[in-house]
Amino acid sequence: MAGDLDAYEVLVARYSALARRTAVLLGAGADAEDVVQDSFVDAFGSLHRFRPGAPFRPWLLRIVVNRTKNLHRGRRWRLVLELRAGIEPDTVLDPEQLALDGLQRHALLGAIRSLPGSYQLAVTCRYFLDLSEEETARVLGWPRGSVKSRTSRALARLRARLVDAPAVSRPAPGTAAREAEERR
Amino acid sequence: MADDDLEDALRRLGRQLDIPPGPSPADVAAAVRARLRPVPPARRSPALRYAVAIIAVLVTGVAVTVAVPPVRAAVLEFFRVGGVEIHDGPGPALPATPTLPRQTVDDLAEAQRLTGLRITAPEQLGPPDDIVVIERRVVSLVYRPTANRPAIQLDVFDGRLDPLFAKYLSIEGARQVDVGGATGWLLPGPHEVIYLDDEGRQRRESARLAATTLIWQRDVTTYRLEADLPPDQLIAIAASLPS
Repeated sequence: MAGDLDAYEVLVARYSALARRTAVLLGAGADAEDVVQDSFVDAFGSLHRFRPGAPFRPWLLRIVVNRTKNLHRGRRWRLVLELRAGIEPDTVLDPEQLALDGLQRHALLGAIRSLPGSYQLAVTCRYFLDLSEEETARVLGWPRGSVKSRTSRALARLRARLVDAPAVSRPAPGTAAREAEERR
Repeated sequence: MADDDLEDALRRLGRQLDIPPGPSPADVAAAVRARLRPVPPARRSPALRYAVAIIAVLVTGVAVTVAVPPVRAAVLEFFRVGGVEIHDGPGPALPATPTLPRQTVDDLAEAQRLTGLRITAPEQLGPPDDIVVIERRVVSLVYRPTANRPAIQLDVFDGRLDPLFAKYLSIEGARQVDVGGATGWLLPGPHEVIYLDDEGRQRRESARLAATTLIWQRDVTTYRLEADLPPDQLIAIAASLPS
């Protein structure tokens, strides 16, 4: 059986960063390390039940999500979304652009925090963990339709919140048409 | 804000979220393993950090047989090899031509001069038909097919086998054999070899022949012998390499 353990070690190494990221975002905090380890140990135990060809990632992350949620059983559970200190820009920008980017980041994060919990979860899975709709459905235990609708409603609410934010430069959809109409 | 822009902004934001650093993947893997089955403390190798890169390469081209235990099969299924998935069945086609700089030389002495490796030909085969030096790190002794034997190729790598390579060969179904006192591995099909050069950097070489392969290491040099021959003949040829 040593070969199985060898193989599993590689799997763990490959997915440990993603598992940790998931645990941290879902609020595991200082317990993230334990949650990740426990999840991998858990997953190994049921590996024999795995359908060949089925993807490992959503299956593992589902275990991580459930273990993280159970950490705070009884207490109110929430996502932990915080920006890193001293973020380097993706590209070289002028100071004004940098300042605007910073405002936009905080505005966006604030807007996300104002969303209902299930919408935040959808956004976290789809955009912060880069999971597909299908994977998100499996990880969260939702019907795929719910992932779709909660994601698009989240985006709609975020868009509405951000219209007032200082860094948004594009006009709202339909503005150009409306202005053309008014000129006639 | 258009949907695309918003989604891009969200992904960018995602990359800027604070995820406090935790234990390295290798450490997590070791900790999980220790819980699954306690191991003696003197075991752990730092080479495990290469694991993620290595495993993808190791299983290239090797068919997963039905007889593989379920856990191993399940794990093998999980690996994606740079976009190529591992399926039950014949491996992917071999790459057409390697792109590394190569030069043909006239004799073993020149190959030796270029690489600093001690290059000898297996006594059972005699001098090769072609000698190719690749990037001054690999020397290929090419034997064209004759009436008596198929094409044979012996590659000499300037480097030791990455320790993890040995570990994961067992996953591929490689058979351990003795090659004149050294440990060798027989592989049934196309694969890559991962070795560490003298600066400890990982190097890879792909198989070029769809044949049985024997890999072994002597001191700080790694050898690969490929030919469509029975294993015992490969071992005999390998053992006939002058030391």
